[in-house]
Amino acid sequence: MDKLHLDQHISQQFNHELEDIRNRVLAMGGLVEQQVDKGLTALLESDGDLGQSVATADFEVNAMEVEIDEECIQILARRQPAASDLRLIVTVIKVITDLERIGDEAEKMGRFAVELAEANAATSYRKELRRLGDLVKSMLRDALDAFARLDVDAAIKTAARDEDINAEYQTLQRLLATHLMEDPRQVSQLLKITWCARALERIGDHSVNICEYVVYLVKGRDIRHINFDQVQSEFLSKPN
Amino acid sequence: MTNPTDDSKQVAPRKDSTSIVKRTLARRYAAEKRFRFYGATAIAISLLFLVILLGSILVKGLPAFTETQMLIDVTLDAKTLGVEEGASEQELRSANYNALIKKSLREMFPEATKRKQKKELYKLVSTSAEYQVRDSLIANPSQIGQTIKVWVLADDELSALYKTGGLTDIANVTHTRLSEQQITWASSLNEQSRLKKQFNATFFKNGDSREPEQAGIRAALMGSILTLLITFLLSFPIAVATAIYLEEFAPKNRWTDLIEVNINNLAAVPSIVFGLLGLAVFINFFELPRSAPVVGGIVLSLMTLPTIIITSRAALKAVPPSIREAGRGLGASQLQVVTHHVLPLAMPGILTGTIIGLAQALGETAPLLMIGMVAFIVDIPTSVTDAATVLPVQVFLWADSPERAFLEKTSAAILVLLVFLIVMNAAAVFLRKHFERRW
Amino acid sequence: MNTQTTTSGSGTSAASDAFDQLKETVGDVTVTDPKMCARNVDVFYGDNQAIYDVSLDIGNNEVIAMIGPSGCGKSTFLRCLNRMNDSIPSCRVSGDMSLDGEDLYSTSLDPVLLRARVGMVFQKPNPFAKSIYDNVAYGPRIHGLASNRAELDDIVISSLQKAGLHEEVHDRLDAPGTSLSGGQQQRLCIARTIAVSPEVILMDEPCSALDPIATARIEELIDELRQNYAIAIVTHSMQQAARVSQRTAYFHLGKLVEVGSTNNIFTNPQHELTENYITGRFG
Repeated sequence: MDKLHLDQHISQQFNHELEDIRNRVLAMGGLVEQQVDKGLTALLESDGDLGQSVATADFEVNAMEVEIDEECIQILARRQPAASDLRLIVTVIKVITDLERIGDEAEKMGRFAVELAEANAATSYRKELRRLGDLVKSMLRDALDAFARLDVDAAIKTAARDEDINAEYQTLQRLLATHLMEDPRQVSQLLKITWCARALERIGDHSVNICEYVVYLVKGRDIRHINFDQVQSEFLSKPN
Repeated sequence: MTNPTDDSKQVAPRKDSTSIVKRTLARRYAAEKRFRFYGATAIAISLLFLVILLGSILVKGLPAFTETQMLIDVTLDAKTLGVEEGASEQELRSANYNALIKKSLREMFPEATKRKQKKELYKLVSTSAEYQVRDSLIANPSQIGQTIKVWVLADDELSALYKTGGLTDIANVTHTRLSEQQITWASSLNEQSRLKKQFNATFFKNGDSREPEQAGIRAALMGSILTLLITFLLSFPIAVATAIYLEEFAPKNRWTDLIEVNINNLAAVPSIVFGLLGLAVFINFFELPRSAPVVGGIVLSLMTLPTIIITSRAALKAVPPSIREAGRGLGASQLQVVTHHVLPLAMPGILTGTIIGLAQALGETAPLLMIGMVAFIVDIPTSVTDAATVLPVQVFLWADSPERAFLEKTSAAILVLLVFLIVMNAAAVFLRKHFERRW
Repeated sequence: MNTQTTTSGSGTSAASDAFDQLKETVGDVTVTDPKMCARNVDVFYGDNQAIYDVSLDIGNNEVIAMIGPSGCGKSTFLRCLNRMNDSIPSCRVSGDMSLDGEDLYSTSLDPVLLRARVGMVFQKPNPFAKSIYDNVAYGPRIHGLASNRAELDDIVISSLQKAGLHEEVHDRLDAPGTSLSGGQQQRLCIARTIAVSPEVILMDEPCSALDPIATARIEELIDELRQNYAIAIVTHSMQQAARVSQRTAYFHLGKLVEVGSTNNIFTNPQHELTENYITGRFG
C-alpha cells in the first residue's frame, strides 16, 4: 500500500493521465525550486536582471498551476477516482496551490532584488539571509523529493525541519531589528530584507504543507493540525 | 508502462477491409435471396397441396350436405295400411306404409309391370320413405283415406345423379348403378319437378346406416365429443399436476430424471400400443364396456398425457425465475408462488399443449380400433358407457364402403372433423387470449 | 470478533499473495446496534465453496453496501440472509446467522416468516403479472396483514407513498404493474416489499437495469428508507455504494476482505485488494 501503482489500472489511458499529472507536478516543482534559488541568488548578489527574470518567469508557474488544475478536474469528472487515485488527485490539487504560492514568494524576492539593486543598497545586510535561504531551499527540495518518491519517512522528517527554519527566522528578525535601531537610514532596505525573510519563512511553511500532503497521499491520514510527536510515533517506520 | 504510440498494441481498422467486405457482400445477399426463395417456394408448395387436399375434400364432400327429396302422391288407403279409421297412434305406427309407397310409385309409372321393373322402380325411393309418410300421417291422422303429396327421401344413386345434373343430360350418364329404365323414370320425375335438393339434416341427425342416404355423422360426432371430454377431464388435471410437481416441487435426483425420461419415451410410443394396453387392462381386466367412449377416453388420455406434460413443463420453465423469486421474497409459500404467479403465466402455453394433445387424440384411430370403437353403431350415444364410434373411425368405415354415395359422406365426415378441430382450436385461442389479457 | 487488524506490513506483495494471506477481515465487522448478525458463515454449492468464513453485522438504520467482482459471493451472502438459497437443493449454509438474536437457520424460524421480516428487492424489476394495486397488496394479502379492504387500501397507498410512486400512479392503480417504466417498476417492487412491513430490506443490484435518473430516485428512496429499516445492498456500481451506504463490505472470491465506513473505504481502504478493486487496478 505504500506504493501507488499508478501503472496498474485496467484502463491504460487512466494510467497515462495519472502519470502525466505526476510528471507535470514534478516539473512544476522543479521550476519553482529554480525560481526560489534564482530569487535568492539575485537578492544575495544584488543581481537586478536575474531578479527581473524571476519576477517575469512567475507566469510560467501560474500557467502550470492552471493546466494541472484543469487536468485534475477532468480526471475527477471523467474517472471518478477513488482511494489512492482520489488521494493523488486531491494531493496534486493542493500541492500545486502551495507551489504556486511558493512561486509568488520567489517572485516577491525577485522584485525586492530588483528594487534593492536599483537603490544600489549595500549587500552586507542581505548576507544574513543566506543561512535561512539555504535551509528553506533544502527543505523545499526534500519536500519535493518526498513527493516524487512518496516517501513518508522523508516527508515527516522534512516537515520537522520547519522548526529550525522558524528558529532561524526568529534570530534573523532580532538581528534585523538590531540593525534597524543601529542604522535608521537603512530602514527602507532593512524592511525589504525583512519581507524577504518573511517570504522564505512562508516557503518553509508551504513545504511543510507539501510534506503533510505526501503523508495523506500515502497513508490516507490527514496529519495537519495534530500533535507532531503523535504523527512521528504513528507513521515513522521503526528502525529494524 | 506501455507506450501509447506502440503500434503493436494499437487496435486499428484494416485499410482494405471495406473492399473485402464489399466483395463478399454481393455473395452474402445472393445467399440470403436464395434462402428466401427456397422458403417461399416451400410454403407455396405446401399451400398448394393444402388447397388441393381441402379442395378435393370440399368438392367431394359438399354434395353430402344436400339430399334429394322426391314428391310422391300417396293415397292413405286404410285397407292397404291395415288400420281402421280413428286408429290410435300406436296402430298407425305399425301400419304398412311400404305398400302405400309402392302403390303410389306404380301409379306414377304404370309401365312398370314386370317384377324386375317394379323392383327397380321401388328402389328409386329410400327405405326411409315409409317413415316420412308415417310421420306425416301421425302428425295429421284425419288424412286417412285422402291422397296427399309427400316429399320422401330419394335413393342415393338417384340423388347422386340428380345432384350432379345427370338427369338433364341422360345420354351421357356414366358411373351410375341405375338402369336405363330407372334413369328414364328419374328424368321424367325431374321434368315433373318432383325432385328437389334440400339441406341434408339427416346427415347431422342420424347415426350410421347401411343406406348412404340415411347415414349420418351424429353418432360419431357425439362419440368424439364424449371421448374427448373424458380425455380432457382425465389428462388435463393429471398432466398439469404432474408438470407442476416435476417442475416446481420435485427434487432433482435420479428418480425424477428416470420419470422424465420415461415420460419423453411415452410420447414416442406408437398409439396402437396404447390401444392394446386399453384392451388388455381396461376391457379384459377391469371389464369396462367395449366400444365405449369411457375406455376410448382413458386410452387417449394415456396417449395425450406425455404431450401435455412435456409442453406444460416447457411452459412452466419459460416463466421467468424472477417472478418466483419475487413471490418467495415476499414470503409466499411454494404452492402460493405456483398458483398465484407461475401458473397464470404458464397457462397459455399449457393450453396450447393441451389443444395439441387433444387434437392428436381427436384424429387418432389406431388405439380405438383395438378397443372396439370401430363397430357399426347406429344409435347415437348419450352417455360415456354407450357403444360409440368416433369421427376418424367413421371416416375409415365409410371410406371402406362400396356404395358410391359413401364417397361424399367420407369427405363430408372429414369436413366435420376439420370443423370440430377448428372449433377446438378457436376455443383454445380464446382461452389463451383471455389468460394473456391478465398479463 | 473484533478484528481490527492491519495486514501485510510491507504491502508490496502481489494481489494474489495478499489474497492467500488473507486470514481475517480487515476492519470492524460489528456494529453497536446490530439487526442481523452473521458469524463464520460458509456456503457451499455442492462441492464448491462459495463463501468462506464470513462474519458481518447489519445495523439498524444503516445502509450497508456489499461490493466486489462478479462471483465474489456478495449476492450469495445476501440471499442467505433471507434464506432465498433454500430453493437451491445443492446449497448448504453453515455458521451462525441471526435476526434480532434469533437463529435464521433454526427450525423455530420459518423461512416464510423470515421473508416477511426480511424483504428483498431484485436486480431486474419483477412486478407480478397483476395490477399495480394487486402487486403491492399481494404480500399483505397472503400474510393476512389487513382485516378489511379499507385497511388494505391504506397499506397499499402508504407503501406507494413511501416508495415515492404514489403521485405517479395514483390514478391508474388498476393498470398492470408491467406497464410502468423500468424505474417505476423497481419502485413498485420496493413498495411491494415495504407493504409487508419488513425490518430489513435486502437489495440485489436494484439499479443495474435502470437509467441514471431512475437510479437517483431509487437511491434517494433508499436514503429515506434508512430511517426505519436496516438495508443491505449489493451493487456493482462503486459510485452507488459510495453514494447510498454508510458502511461498505468488500468481498473477493468468497471472502469478506474488508469492512469499514464508506468514507474510509472509498478514500483510504486498508487492504490492497479493496484498493485495487475500487481504483480499477489489475486484481
